[in-house]
Amino acid sequence: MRTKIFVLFTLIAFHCRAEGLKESIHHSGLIWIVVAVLMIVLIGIFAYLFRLEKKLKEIEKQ
Amino acid sequence: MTEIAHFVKKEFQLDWRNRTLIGSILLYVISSIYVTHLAFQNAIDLPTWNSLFWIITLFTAFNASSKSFSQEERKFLYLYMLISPQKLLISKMLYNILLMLIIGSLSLFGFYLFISNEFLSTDNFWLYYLSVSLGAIGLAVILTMISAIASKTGNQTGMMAILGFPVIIPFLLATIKFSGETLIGKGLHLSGSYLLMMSAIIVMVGLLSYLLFPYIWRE
Amino acid sequence: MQNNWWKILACILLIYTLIVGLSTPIEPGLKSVSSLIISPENTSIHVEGYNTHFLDQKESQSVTLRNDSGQWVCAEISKVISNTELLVEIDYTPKVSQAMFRLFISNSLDGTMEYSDMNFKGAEVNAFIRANSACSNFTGYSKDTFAFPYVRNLYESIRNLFFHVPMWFAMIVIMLLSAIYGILYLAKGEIKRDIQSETAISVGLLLAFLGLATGSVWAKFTWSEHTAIWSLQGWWVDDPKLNGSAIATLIYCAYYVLKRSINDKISAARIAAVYNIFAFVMFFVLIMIYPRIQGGLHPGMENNPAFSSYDLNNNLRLVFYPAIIGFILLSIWIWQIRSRIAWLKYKREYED
Repeated sequence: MRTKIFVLFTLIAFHCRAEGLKESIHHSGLIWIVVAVLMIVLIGIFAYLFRLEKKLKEIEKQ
Repeated sequence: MTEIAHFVKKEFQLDWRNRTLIGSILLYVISSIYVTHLAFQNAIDLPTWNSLFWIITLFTAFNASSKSFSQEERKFLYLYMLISPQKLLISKMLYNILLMLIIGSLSLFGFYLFISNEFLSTDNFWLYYLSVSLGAIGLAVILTMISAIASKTGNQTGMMAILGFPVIIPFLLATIKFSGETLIGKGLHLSGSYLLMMSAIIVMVGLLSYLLFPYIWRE
Repeated sequence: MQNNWWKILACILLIYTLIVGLSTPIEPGLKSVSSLIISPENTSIHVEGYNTHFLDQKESQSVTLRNDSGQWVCAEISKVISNTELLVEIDYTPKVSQAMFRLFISNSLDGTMEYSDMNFKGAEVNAFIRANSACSNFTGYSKDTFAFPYVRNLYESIRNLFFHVPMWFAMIVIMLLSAIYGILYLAKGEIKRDIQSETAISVGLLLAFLGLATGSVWAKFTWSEHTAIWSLQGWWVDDPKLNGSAIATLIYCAYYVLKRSINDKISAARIAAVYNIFAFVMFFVLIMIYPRIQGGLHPGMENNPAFSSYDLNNNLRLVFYPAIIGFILLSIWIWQIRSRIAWLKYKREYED
């Protein structure tokens, strides 16, 4: 029962937060979308570079 | 030229003697059409009819052409020694085209009979049949090459699907579009560009296969 | 240094893209109106602006309406609430030759801004009134500062053009390079070319994935704003480029599966190269024909705000083209490093 209530409250909290987030996204002229897109691009490229370095380290160890 | 004709004839004879292949394809077409008939219960409109037709034809084409270069044919490897890779490819392609034309006509007949006969009329039949033939030729040409690639791996049927589906999308889109246009009664002057598109893809894929096939076949 | 000029160029172009692409303002525009319908009972319209200076430019500000037949309707600003909000009082006309009007608001700082689809309800349509001259109280200003165009629904997110769309172009270039190296491998039989071809696909898949992820986020928050943030609806739109990226992902994942499923290294390389060339040609065909077919399916495509109005804007081009070149060069650079590492690994494995 307790967990159920907890889950319910978490969901409600998340709902409010998400709605607030959406509202603020639209209020600020969607600039946060640009931030999100840039972040995805940068994180993607950096993750790829980290993987690349791991490969290089493996070769160096040999 | 006679070599190729001879080879195509031999393929037919082999399949005819075996019977399981032709039987299984026939059964596949008929049963899938019948299942569709039972599932849709005549509640079907024109675009759905057309798309369903092409989806079933596509799957049948995968079934039929996946055996083109199948493993058990390694038994006839000595035969392949007698003929150059290009000629082998052309004969396989011709055989697959003939097979696919038969399958296409058959499944069109099945669709007319079981699923709905209100979309085909004497006005648009020949143009639609043209699109079916062209689609069948294209599927055969593309899938011959794909099955040649897939035959070099351990898992042929699985690889056929993985390699074939993404590659066939552009041709299938053009085909569904063209046949849909002919079905709603648009003449060649309106839908001719799609016809050109399909022919261009077929010619290009044919040429590309002709150039690339020797690299696959070289052991 | 001599061979590194293009890497420096990539750096410069991307920094330029970031600075100019993010710091250039968006043109002022009209965001929303309280009602699209103008009737004798409802002639007062509340207008909301974006980046506008309604209050600061109160003196030079004027408003009017016009339809496509060249007919003008006079209006006046009854109250300015803030820089982004004002009230317009429209002179209702009982006779119009076309009921659809466009609302224009102009001041000396923001230039002329418009809002379309204002409907005169209850008026006698097709009453043949000759086009009269513009309202005497309206002065149209033009704006000539450097800014990105205002597109309703997109607002600031129009800048994503520089960070999302180049992924698609870079992917095509990288995949083309991969196919070219496949051809080189078939022609010469050097295993190095095969390794280069394979690593190009690895970079291309990264770009395809980035294109899909960024496109998905952009689409979700601009075109599907009515859906809840966690609902699955709206993350995927039927856009030719998005679908093209998805199909490219399928094609090139299949390439990896194919290559791993053949045990003999040499024949795996050869067959994968053949499939690579074949698949790229089909992918290119898809790019060429898909928009035509898609356009046929959705006749409203040309009205899509995201794909027509900004395509031809010169200010956007000034950043868009450098961004494309920058990202292409950056991905070629990553590809080079990736393939050098792969080549080193191969040499270590087979020479020791």
